[in-house]
Amino acid sequence: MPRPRVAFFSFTSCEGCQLTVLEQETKLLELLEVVEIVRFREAIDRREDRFDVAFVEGSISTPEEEDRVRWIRNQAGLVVAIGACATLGGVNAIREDRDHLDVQGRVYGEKGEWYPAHQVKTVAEVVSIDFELHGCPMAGAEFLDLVSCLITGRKFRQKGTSVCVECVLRGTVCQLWKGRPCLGPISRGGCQAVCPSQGGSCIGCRGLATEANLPALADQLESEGLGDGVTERMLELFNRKEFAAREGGQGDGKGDPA
Amino acid sequence: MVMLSRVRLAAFIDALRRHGEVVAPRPVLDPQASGEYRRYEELRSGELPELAPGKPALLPASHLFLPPRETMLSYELESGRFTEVLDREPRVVIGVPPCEAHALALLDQALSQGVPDRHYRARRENATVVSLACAEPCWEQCFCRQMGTHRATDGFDLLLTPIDAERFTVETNTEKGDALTAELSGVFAPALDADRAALDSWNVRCDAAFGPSESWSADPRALVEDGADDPVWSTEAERCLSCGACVLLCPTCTCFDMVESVPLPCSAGTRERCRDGCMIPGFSAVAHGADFRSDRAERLRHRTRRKFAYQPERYGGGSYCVGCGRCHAHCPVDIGPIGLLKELEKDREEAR
Repeated sequence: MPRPRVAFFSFTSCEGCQLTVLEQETKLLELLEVVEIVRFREAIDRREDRFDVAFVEGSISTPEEEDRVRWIRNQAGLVVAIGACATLGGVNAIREDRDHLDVQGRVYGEKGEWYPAHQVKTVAEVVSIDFELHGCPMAGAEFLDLVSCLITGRKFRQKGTSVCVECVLRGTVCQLWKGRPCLGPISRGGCQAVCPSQGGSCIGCRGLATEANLPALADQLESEGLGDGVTERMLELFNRKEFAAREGGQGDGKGDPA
Repeated sequence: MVMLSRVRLAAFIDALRRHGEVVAPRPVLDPQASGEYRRYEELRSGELPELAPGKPALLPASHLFLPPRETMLSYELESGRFTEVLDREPRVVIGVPPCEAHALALLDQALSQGVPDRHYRARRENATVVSLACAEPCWEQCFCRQMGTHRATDGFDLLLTPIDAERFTVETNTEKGDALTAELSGVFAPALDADRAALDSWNVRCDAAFGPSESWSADPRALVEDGADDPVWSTEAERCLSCGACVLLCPTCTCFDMVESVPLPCSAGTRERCRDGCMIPGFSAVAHGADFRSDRAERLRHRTRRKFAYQPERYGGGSYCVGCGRCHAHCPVDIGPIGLLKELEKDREEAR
């Protein structure tokens, strides 16, 4: 059986998710046993237009990028959005709350108007996608598991449970006990709680958990004196789009079991 | 009963090492957390266990026997051949508080009935548990006195009680404990009548330090059975974040999910058992996407009833809550069994 042809693409992003692939180091040889990489600008010169699986990193934030991702969708059998920029809009989406002309001026100075800021979209907002790998950057273990699932025909399972699930099972001292705000209870896990277990707070880079109860966490953090609106400010970093959608009437805190 | 002097502790630990790796609660090296927290970890060479009062370990001793993630079997994809994986590594766990020893006794009962849990049994049968008596409540969230677990009565092989600054009494509870006591006769000293009297009065002081057992008038089982329609389930569920900490840290929770792990290049794999729990969204989801307990209030009620009514009914005996308080302490929004039971009791009084 021929190995599936795999291509990596980057849009508005830091390309850290592609680096995560390279960081798999010894497992890269095993990866090459099961797939053929035909496009991966961080690692190889090869640049082919025919591929079975496209891993797409970054948010779609210009009309040109929209055209390019549509072309990828047409070429590929499967499209996988990788990383927070591709799945949530990522930090790029922060500008959505601000006046675009101001943003352009902040970045490009007097010539700001030469560089129009467009609406930031997730990959799924432009084309249909088959899988998402969450995180900033995506988790290398999940990437390898998805490849394994595609090769063996297993169902790729991702849970929408909170970061706390993995955090408490690592025997981590809870950030909230240390008086630090943490989005772990409402954020999607799968990262093995890499930040809280190393002494950092969860900043929600994998999006919201299935049943994220935003109002309850906000009330609790405020009642513990961790600051007014701290949850909202932390959520803005990665979850601006999702948060805005919930603010717009869906945020009843009851959760959506779907 | 025999006596162990603290000056013989090193000899005691050395002797225990002959029975497997020695695991004890060790301080967490977290610069932000100032050594207040502990984890069960293997003692380093020459290291002695603290055997001192303190907050309970972040994860209970039962997680050593039902780890967060464990391999059940390994297989080859092409041939379909598979092998059961059993962890028979001998271990000695020392410094287990009475509430956690009670939890082990409950798990021994639950996981031996019907189809016994071979993976749990393999670890458990190859382990020696040395409990350490608690002189007083270890943190504000603990309510072991109300659950009747503040004194070790089961789930351990040896029990150490620090009757004075220099010495522990050593009581045995199993044949394994008897054999160990006989084997280590050179390390222990015989107990005198005065030592037995000292232990009796230590236990009286212990009971007094834990205070009265009656925090609520009714028994928890009756409260949760009668309180099926109580509004407390939905009012507390509104605050619940569904984070799952409560069920994942519980020393008597055993629920799990099965995960296939097939690392590249996909020629072989393992079937893994991963901790899951009834408070976690999706746990009760079944084929076709139906979820028979998708409502948080129903999940909270189910978990509480499981601890105080369903399990006692199924296995006979008392609550499947040992009062360690981990679920309450770890709950980001401060929901705990005591608060729930008190609320149920209050509503029942008002209804009268």
